[in-house]
This record gives sequence, C-alpha cells and structure tokens, in this order.
Amino acid sequence: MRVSLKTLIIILVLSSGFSGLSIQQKQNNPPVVKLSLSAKEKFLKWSSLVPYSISVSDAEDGKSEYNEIVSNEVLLEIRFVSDSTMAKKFVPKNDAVIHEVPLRMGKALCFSCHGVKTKIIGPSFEQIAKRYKGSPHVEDTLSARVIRGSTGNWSEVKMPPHPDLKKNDVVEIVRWILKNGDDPDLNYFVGLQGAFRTKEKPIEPSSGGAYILTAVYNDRGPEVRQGRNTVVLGVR
Amino acid sequence: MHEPNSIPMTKFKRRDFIKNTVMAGVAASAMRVDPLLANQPTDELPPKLAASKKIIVGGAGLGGLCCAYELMKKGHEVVVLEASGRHGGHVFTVRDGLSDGLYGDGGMEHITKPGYVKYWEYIKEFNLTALPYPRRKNLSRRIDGKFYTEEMLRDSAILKQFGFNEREVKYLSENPWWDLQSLYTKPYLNKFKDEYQPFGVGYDDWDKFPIADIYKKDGASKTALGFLGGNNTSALFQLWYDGILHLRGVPLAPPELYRLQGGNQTLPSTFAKKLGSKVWLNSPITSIKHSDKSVTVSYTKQGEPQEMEADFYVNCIPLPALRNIPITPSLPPERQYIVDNLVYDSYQRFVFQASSKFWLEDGLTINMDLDHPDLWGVWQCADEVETHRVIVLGTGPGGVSPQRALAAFREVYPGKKKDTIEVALGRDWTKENYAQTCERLPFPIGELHKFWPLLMKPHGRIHFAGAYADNLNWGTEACTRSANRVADAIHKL
Repeated sequence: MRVSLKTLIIILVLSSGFSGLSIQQKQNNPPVVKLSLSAKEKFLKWSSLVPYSISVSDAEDGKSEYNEIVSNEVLLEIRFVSDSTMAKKFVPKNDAVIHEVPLRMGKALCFSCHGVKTKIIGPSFEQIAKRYKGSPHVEDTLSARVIRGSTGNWSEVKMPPHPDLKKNDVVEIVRWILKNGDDPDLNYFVGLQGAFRTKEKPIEPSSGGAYILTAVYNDRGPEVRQGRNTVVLGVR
Repeated sequence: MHEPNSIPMTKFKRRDFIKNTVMAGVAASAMRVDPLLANQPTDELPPKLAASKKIIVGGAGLGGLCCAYELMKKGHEVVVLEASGRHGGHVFTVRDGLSDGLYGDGGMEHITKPGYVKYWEYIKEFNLTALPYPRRKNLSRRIDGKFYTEEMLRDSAILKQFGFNEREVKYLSENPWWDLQSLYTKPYLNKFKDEYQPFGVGYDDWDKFPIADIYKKDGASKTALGFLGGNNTSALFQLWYDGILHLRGVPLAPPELYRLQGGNQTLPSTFAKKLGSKVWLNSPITSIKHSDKSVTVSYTKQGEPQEMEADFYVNCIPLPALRNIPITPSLPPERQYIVDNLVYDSYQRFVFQASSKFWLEDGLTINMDLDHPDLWGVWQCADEVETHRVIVLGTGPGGVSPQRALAAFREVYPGKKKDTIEVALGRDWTKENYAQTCERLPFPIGELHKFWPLLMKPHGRIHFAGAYADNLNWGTEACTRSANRVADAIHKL
C-alpha cells in the first residue's frame, strides 16, 4: 500500500503527539504487596490460629508502614483445597485485576460490620447466603436494604443507609455475597493484619490439603494497577 | 512479623519485681513493709509481701486500667499492654477542633445513680466531680416523622391513636414512655434472687424463644410489639437483664444521669496517672502461652518483638481482638466458642459545636430522639464551660460523614429558626483498629448456657475482665465490676 506524503506527515505528527502525551501523562507504577505469616514452618497445623500481616508499597500511593495505605482497601483471600495438588490451579497467573467486588466492598466499609464467616455488628455473609440464597427477588430485596438501610431482620441493630452506592454495584455485591458467603473453603479479610483459623482435622485421611493465601491491593490509578502476593501452604 | 529466635526475653523474676515494688513505694504494699526490710535480701521478706504476684493486663481501656490499679493497690506488680497509641479505649473525650475549651464525650456517655457503685467509689477516691447530665430530661421523640413531648406521650388520646390497648394506655399515662417494657417483664422479675444466676429460677426453657412471645402471650398490642421489638432476644436473657436492674434498683432507662466534669476520660486518665510507667502504649500482644506455672505474653514494642513472663494474664481486650491472638495451648472448644461468637455494638459519635442555644429561640429542648437513619439522637454536653458556644452530641451509624449527619439534623429539626452549628466532627468507632467495640449485644436465642457463666470464669492463669465480662452489658459498669472481681480473685490466690 502506498502512503501519500500528506498521510505520512499526519501519521508522524499524530504519533509524536501521542508519544508527547504519554510522556506528560503521569506514569503509574504497580503496587508491591507482601504477605507475611508469623509461623515459620512450611506447613500449617489443623485447627490453629494463623496471624498474618500484609505490607503494601506503591510509588504513587505510599507505603503501609507509614500508614499511607488505607487498610480497608487491602484484601486477603483464604482458599482451602482438600487436594493439595489442586492448589496451583488457584494461584492467580496473569496481570488481570481480580477480586474487584470484595475490594470495592472493602472501600465501602462493608467489612467493618460484616465478617465473611464471623458475625461482627451485622450478620456474617455466610449467614446471609445461607438464609437468602435462591429466594425470589433476593437481589432486589437485599440491594434495597443496603441502599436504604435496614433493621429487625437479624437484630435490633440498625444497618445504615448507603445512598452513595450505585444500584448496579450493590447488586454485584449481593451476588458476590450469595455466591461466596457460604463456601466453606473460602474466606476473606480486609486490613493490613489479622488472623484466620485453619479447619478442623478431617476425619477421613486425606493428602492433607493446602491453603492458597492471596493478598491484593488496587492502587489509585489513574489506570488501576493491582499488586498481589500469593502464598501456598500445606496443612497437616 | 517476628522471627521467634530473635526475641529478647524479659523475665520478670519475682525477686526483681518485689524489689521494684518496694523501691517505688507502691502505697498499699509499702505501708505494710518495715522500711528496714528494704535493705535485706528480698528472699527473706515476710510471707505477705512474698505473695506479691506479677500480672500482665491486656488492654488499657477502662477495665484494664481499673484492674491494674486495683492489683497495684493490693501490692502486686502489674504491666498494662495497650495495642494503640492512647489509653482509655472506648472512653474518649473529644477536644481537638473545638473552641473555648469545649469538649464532648466521644465514647462512654454517662453513669446512673443508683447503679455504677464502683464508679461512684472512684469519683470519691480521686475527688472527681460528677455533674448532672440531663440528656434524657424532657426528651422529645420523633415517631413516624412527628415530634412528641413527654407530656404528649402520656396523653391517653394520643396513645389510643397510636393503637395501644387499654391496659397499655393506662400504664403509659401513669409511667414514662421508656418504661413500657416493664408492663410486660416486671411480673416475672421477682424470681431472680442472685443477679449472677439466670438459671434455675424457672425460666431455663425460655431461652429458646424470643421475649416478643411473652409480650404477645400477655396481650401486647401490635403497636406495643412494634415499639418493644424483641424478636431477636431470648425471653430468658431479656428477663434476666431486666431482673439485674430490678435487683440493683435501677430503672430500664434511668433519667437521672451524670458525667464527669471535663469529660469522662478523666477517670481512665486518673487510673493511668496512678499507674504511671506501668502502662505501655503501642505494645500490641501477639501471642499468649500459658501453663499451670506461668503465663508468657509476646508483644511488640516499637515494632520489635518482645516477650514477658508473669504469674497471671488478665484479658481486658475485647474478644473480637483476642480472636486474632494465638493462645497456646489452645482454649478448650467451649471457651473458644465464646471468643469466636461474642458480638458487640459499634456506632459513631457526632460532636456539633454551635454558637448559641439556638433551640431555645423556638422553645424547644435539644434532647431529641430523631429516628433518622443517619443520626439517631442529639443532646447537650459540656454546659459548664464558660462560653456562649455549646456542644451538641449525637449518635449514629459508622460510615456516615459528620456533614451528612448535620444534614440529617437539619432535615428533621423542628425549629423554625436556623440552627447555629458551626463545627461538625465525628468519632467513628467502627473504623477504629482496636477499640471498635462498644457494648456486648445479647447472646443468640438458645445460647445463654454457652456463654454464661463461663464468660467471666478464669481459665487457668488467664482471667477475663472488661466491658464484656460481667452480667449486665452496660460497659462502664461491667468494666469496673469485673476489674474488681478479677483483682480480688488474683489477690486471694
């Protein structure tokens, strides 16, 4: 294909313009996330408490050690597999942004009052999933309760309204709760430190199982970049 | 996270802390000691002093400070490990951002009389000033979008209009609005003789159904049921709760309230001052090991891992925080169940500063129950501070900005003239790292026996005190009572 001189000039001008733009545009470096466990053994023990801490360092957002990272925007996924050879399958591989919904929930302070498996001020997401999964109009009912506030369904404690959240986002959150809340092999925490309890030792002899722990932080952009650290630990 | 091999071991040998106690001249114990003995080898001290124990208290909230203070007075060596950078926990007086020396209590609100016996003893002991706190006087209540004065809520015509039955109308026209519950619970309360014993009085099976069933059985109207709630609280639990107050001679929502001049934080600050360098801030506990001989607590100080051995550990940190601390050997399952399942309330305190008592211009009270989802109620604080400015406090849910709460106030405030609020601040406890929890919530229906009385019993060398560790969940009261109970128990061992 022949390119006319005029077209070539336009292409050159445009491309130089673009490159000029990209130089002026603030570069966004990906965050570095590091998950640390206090246990130094290679294996976790059944039915034991595992304290963890997460550090985040981002060239633009700052460092968690200086309190520059908002702790409720840091997520830990805890996944158990009974067959440890399956663990690899759950290690996130590419750079695609994952866990968008629970990260958004962290930002919206959902986890301040609701644990995934633990009742805090409001019911746990496990309790919510168990009660409502499969109920008719459940997405509408629950998203309306999130947006308008609610009381009396679990206790007399009032859930505050969240008028700032968009309906579609809340429906996604509700779907996520119903899908993951009562999965016995999944748990999530927000925050830079905490602890989780490993499962009871199974009665049936098994290969031992494994925990896949993934700490995630999405930076503040402008193009969101995700930092992740996954640790796989056998349990015996 | 720490490398366990690099932990410096700070063993507080009995001899060392006895020596410290004597040298520091800790009041109670030093009084009993012959001054000459201070020069003798500590192994030859009289048995009374040799019985001095070393205790680590977890948490410098009101419960932890009170317990440590009592133990110190009895001649024991204490160290209080506090995770956060301040002591006082959920007792917190807001001053920053306010003018003219004004303040507002951002956490603990008030005490009652009768009730709060231990608290009143400390007021006397430390010569503190308790001021009347008329935040429930002439309370105006917003019901279904309309404000009602106390007088209106005694008016039979209005009560009938709400839909109360005849018996309820008669009761409410003779008794305060907040006491409606007593109409239904009072007949059952005389069976409680020991406030620490809810079982065996004839209601054991009533833990299996909600108190609302009792209201219904006894003829409560639909309107009364709406106001009373109680569908999620066990009948036994609610009757026991009301029974405790009945035994103490305290009404369900006492109108005679008091607070400390200068802010309620004055009491924890006074304890902390008495304890001096025994209160270690920014020292979060990371693990607890215990045996029949001693307790070893790991913690960090300036981020460095440390370890300390003692005779006892008193847990005055809220159980949701204890959940994250490994205990070796593990607590037995029934005890772990309590740690894992105890639930607390949490909320936000709003502090508004206004340039005048603007409500007086409309002939209104500022004691208002607003029934707004972003702001539940407001009242005045710090009225003794000499200034034309005033503090209006409010309570609402976490996650609501102070400006949104102010907008909620303006949305429902019934006055015709504009308010003069010039500052809006908030203390959002739900976002706090360590002192998030306020008061313990009722145990789930059918589970009282799983929590009580084990909740307040020691486990080996680990004792439990604080807002969660007593029969009634009124935080300040529970803190001071449980702290004294544990201090006495350890002293007598």
